[in-house]
Amino acid sequence: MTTAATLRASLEQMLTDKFQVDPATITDTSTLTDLGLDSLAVVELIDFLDAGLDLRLQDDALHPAMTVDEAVAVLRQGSAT
Amino acid sequence: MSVRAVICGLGACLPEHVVTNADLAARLDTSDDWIRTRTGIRRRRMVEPGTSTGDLAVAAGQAALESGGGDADFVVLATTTPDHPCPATAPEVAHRLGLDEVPAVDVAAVCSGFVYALALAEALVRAGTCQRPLVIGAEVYTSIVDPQDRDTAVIFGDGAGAALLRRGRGGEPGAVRAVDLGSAGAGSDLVTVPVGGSRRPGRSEEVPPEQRYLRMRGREVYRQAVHRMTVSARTVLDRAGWQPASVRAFVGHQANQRILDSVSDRLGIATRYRYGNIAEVGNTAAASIPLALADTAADGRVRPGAPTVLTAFGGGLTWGSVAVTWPDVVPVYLPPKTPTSCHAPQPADASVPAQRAPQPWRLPASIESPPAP
Repeated sequence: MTTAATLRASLEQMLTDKFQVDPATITDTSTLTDLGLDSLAVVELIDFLDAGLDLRLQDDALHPAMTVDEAVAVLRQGSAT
Repeated sequence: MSVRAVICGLGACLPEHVVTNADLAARLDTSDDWIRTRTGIRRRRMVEPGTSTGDLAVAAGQAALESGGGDADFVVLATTTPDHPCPATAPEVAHRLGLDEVPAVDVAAVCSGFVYALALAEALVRAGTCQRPLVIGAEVYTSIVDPQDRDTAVIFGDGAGAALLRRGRGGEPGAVRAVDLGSAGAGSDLVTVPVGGSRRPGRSEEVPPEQRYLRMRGREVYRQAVHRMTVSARTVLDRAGWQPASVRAFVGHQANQRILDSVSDRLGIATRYRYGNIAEVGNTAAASIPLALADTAADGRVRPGAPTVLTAFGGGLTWGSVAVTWPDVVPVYLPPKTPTSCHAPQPADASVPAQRAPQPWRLPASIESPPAP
């Protein structure tokens, strides 16, 4: 299983590289909405994470209201399968 | 070079009635800002009661025949919204165009319909079955969209576009150079009108009215659309022997600006080579690509012969792409476009000859010099 720290770093890189999120704004408790992602952007994020981390996430695995911490937990589950 | 189908005429028909985002926000729980940021759409067209897909198809078909300067010997009509469950709409459209006894058939591939129809017509030309097929994409989506469903009512609009093809050679502007088509029926429930077909005829009054309307699972469709169009466009580029960086016109199915941006970003096509009109007409399903082609050609922003990629994704699931060189045509609009109003009030199937304006690329190079392909 990939560690939470590694997944968190990958998520942060995806958010900054693909969605131009300011790294300084990314905290464990910030929601994806707080970071400027709407529902379609979250679908895009799922796609990027699937490709980048070789996952098979469901289309509704992530939601805009999820925090970064919650998103990392989903990625951990996804990477364990 | 081998025999190819060449686009020699483009036609378009949009209903006069404009529905703005503000109009929709007045009756649905949505807003202009939400619609624009999620879809890129500002307004769309809607037919008046009594105007059918066939009416729009006749006008667009007539316009394409005028643009291409001649008759057709085959009619392929791509539509999701035929005039009747039976018979097909294409034969009556052909009749109304004065093309009696030419073969005429509907193609049902939802939003991929025009690309499918173009690919089939191109194959018919290469096979020698016909010489000048008329390919029409026409839709009255407002006939299947639930006016109370904010997820779909804000997206779709009505309209028709058409392309006249002729037998030609691969080196000519407008020549189809490669095709890619695909489907994945496992996803047939992602975009569907649940009731009204043979599986659920829906004659019972117990069927809720919303079951007769288009239903779309937005998240899955978004993801599939981006993936399928990207892969299909790459495939067709590879078949044509073109690098993505050599593409000078990318015209995707006008489904959603965010999808189009994502696909062209992934393909590596520069923003300046992406063309479309989704802001003005919304998603017109099978009509969207020919309408976007006509508007782009009318603006004269692409030099004839420039490498062009058309790509589409739709219910079915279906997808497809066509590599074509930009056609040397002046599109015709019926009813005609005017400087003061986008489309003058005319009956949808009026045979009004449109003015042929000179295109910027016909002007001296010192005035306009588009990048060489």
